[in-house]
Amino acid sequence: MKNVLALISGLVFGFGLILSGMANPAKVIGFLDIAGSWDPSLAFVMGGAIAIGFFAFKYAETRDTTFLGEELNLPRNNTIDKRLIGGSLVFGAGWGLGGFCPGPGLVSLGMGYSGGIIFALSMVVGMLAFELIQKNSG
Amino acid sequence: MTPVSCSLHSNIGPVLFTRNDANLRVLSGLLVELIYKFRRGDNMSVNWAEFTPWASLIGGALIGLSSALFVLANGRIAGISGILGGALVSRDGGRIWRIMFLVGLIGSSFVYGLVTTLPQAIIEASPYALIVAGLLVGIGTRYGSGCTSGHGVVGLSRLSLRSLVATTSFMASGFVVVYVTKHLI
Repeated sequence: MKNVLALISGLVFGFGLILSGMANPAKVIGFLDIAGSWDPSLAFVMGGAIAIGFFAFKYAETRDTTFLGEELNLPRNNTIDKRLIGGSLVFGAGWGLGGFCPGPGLVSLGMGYSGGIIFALSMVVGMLAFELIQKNSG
Repeated sequence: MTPVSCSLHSNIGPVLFTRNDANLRVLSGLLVELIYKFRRGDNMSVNWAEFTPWASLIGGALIGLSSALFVLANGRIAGISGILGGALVSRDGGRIWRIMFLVGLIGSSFVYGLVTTLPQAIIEASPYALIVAGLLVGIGTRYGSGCTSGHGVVGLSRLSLRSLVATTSFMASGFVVVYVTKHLI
């Protein structure tokens, strides 16, 4: 059941990315290009998602277990450090360069775009490189 | 009011900052450009032709719904970089549900295409730029413990200051990189 729901969540998440325009890098770059001809649409994606997420997570905070009786794993980390900021700055640079963040990159891979495949594979390589660095430094 | 030529602003950055600091120059160029746009009265040119408030709002609501379902049923955060990163190395034995989520996400365009026309995606970046972009996104999201979904949607929904700092950081560098690639190079 847990795995079926994970599959459904992934599907619905992907539908949202496609419908909202997030899966189109040109639209993402149109949003990030505030000095050019700006397309504010993606602010509405965040707005729509947070409007629902706000109440869902408020409710989740009041529960100990999920509907399926699973443990609720809400993040408890509040640390703001160089790692968080540096990592996010690096991520944003890649986001602006290609117009892809991780979700849309994977959706584009599924659509069969060569650019999406190149991006998604490079992203996986980047994540594996991170694991390697972590292992060697820790 | 005299109209200000567009070529002027890029020369102002270096004048304001005598130190040879590339970051400051880019940021000041961006700020000065925005100030000129406001002063000229063309309040930032909004691209109304591409503006899709309803589709974006409803698409965003679907993303919110997916995150809500995922936390209330499976007790997990729908953060794509975390799920993908976890599926690659999975230390806690939770590999199957991560892979199932990713199968749903990657297969979503196929199912979407069965119901209605799939919108076209336009990828302007070159293959080389996409390789660099992918590496930066892969490493950056793992160091920063999240991306647009984990920090931007879930974190902001939970009013987490940590996620607000992360979101502000990646939006800021995204704005700067797009400014550089679109207007300076």
